[in-house]
Amino acid sequence: MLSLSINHPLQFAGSKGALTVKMTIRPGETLAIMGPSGAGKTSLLRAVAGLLKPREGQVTWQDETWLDTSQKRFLPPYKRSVGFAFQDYALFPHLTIRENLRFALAPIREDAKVDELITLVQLTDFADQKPAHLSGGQQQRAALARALIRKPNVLLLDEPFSALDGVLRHKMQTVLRDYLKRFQPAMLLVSHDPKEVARLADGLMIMENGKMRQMGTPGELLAQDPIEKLSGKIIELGENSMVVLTDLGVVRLPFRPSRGEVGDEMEVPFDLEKGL
Amino acid sequence: MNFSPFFLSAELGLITTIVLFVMVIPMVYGIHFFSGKWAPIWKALASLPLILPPTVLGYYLLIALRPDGWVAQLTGLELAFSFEGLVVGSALYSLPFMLTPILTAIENLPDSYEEAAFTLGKNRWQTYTRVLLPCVKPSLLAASVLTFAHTIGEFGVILMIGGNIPDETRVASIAIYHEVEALHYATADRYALILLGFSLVVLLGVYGKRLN
Repeated sequence: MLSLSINHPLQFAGSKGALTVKMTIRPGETLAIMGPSGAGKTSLLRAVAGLLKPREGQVTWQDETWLDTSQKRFLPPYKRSVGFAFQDYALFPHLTIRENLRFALAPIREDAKVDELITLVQLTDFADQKPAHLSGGQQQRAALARALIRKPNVLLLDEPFSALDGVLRHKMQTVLRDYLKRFQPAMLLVSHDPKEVARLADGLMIMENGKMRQMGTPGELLAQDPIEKLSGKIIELGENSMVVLTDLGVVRLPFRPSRGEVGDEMEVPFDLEKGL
Repeated sequence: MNFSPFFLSAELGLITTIVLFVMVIPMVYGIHFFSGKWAPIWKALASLPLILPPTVLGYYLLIALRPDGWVAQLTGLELAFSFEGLVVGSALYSLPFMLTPILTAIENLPDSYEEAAFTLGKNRWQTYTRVLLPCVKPSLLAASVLTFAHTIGEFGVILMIGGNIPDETRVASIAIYHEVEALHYATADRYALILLGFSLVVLLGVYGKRLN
């Protein structure tokens, strides 16, 4: 069982706060994490992986202590059995996709395993290309394969399908679901996609300002949340606002995306009860 | 025209570059992974030769390396006015030219590269040698070329600790000074022109590579 109880000071959208989370996940279980940007979702994954050293708390996997600040114990990330799919993919640019996967297994060379995963994520034709020659979606699939290849006990996926279109997203979710069934890791999945969460997760934690706002099953929590997303196209970008054309009409939003230009597709929050 | 000062300069440049490369790789590793809040102090110390007058560095080295200096007393080696002494001085003086480009390139890589390597079970040294260094290969090359070129052009430190001994410490830059002092302007002209051409070729090589 992955057990975690941490408290760590963090900056949230310019204001000071703390990442304060307590949770447990059994092997074979998936806990999805949702919440607004800057809620501390990625920081939570980083704390589990050991990439962030919480000021206070404990992290244990089965009978292994990964962190216990009261005993000044901190197991470095490279000694923890984790697989991490980063939001920016973090593929090594000097290695091909095949070499990126081999790197994860080195010094053992298991080409059959590498080839199997490359086939599963549908990158056979791109296996000997370097990441710079691949699209965002292809890089994201390679990053997912690399996170899975060592069969880690704890799988940490930070929006692993965000760059994929609908059909491919569904296919990759199926690949991941089969993998979870076969190898039974404990998984933390950061996602903004309610359908993805409903399909993959056993539990759902909604975070806000570093704290757990709600915990339950995806069925319970997603039914309560009236916020859905609607696809649209950006038609105007202001300094702190934008105008998006959706199927339900034109809407002006009081923020602008960190990336994106006029003409780009984006998702607009849509309140089922109140409308746009 | 006597070419021995150029051969001596080339030998000094090559040895200094190799010595510094071997020294700087673990130094950058230490500064990047272990120095924490002390990193600015290490960086400042390593960059000191950039702003320190060469004669000041040369003077301190002369005091340390002279026959009755503390280096000789500790190790029994008399390095002042020898080629080996020039290597020590050049290595210290050219240190920032090797260290700074490599350290800066490593620090400019996304953190997620080393974090990804950690989560794939690689320790700091494996991450450094198998991910970070290969990612900054052009900077390794540029740092080596700049170090070599800078060593070839050294004057102040060399004169202070090496003097002007033919075939031992009279490198190209010292040879120019020597010829001017002897009023042999024609020879000095030729020496200077060769060094100028060499410096331009090196810089064109570095910037041309970057442009590519």
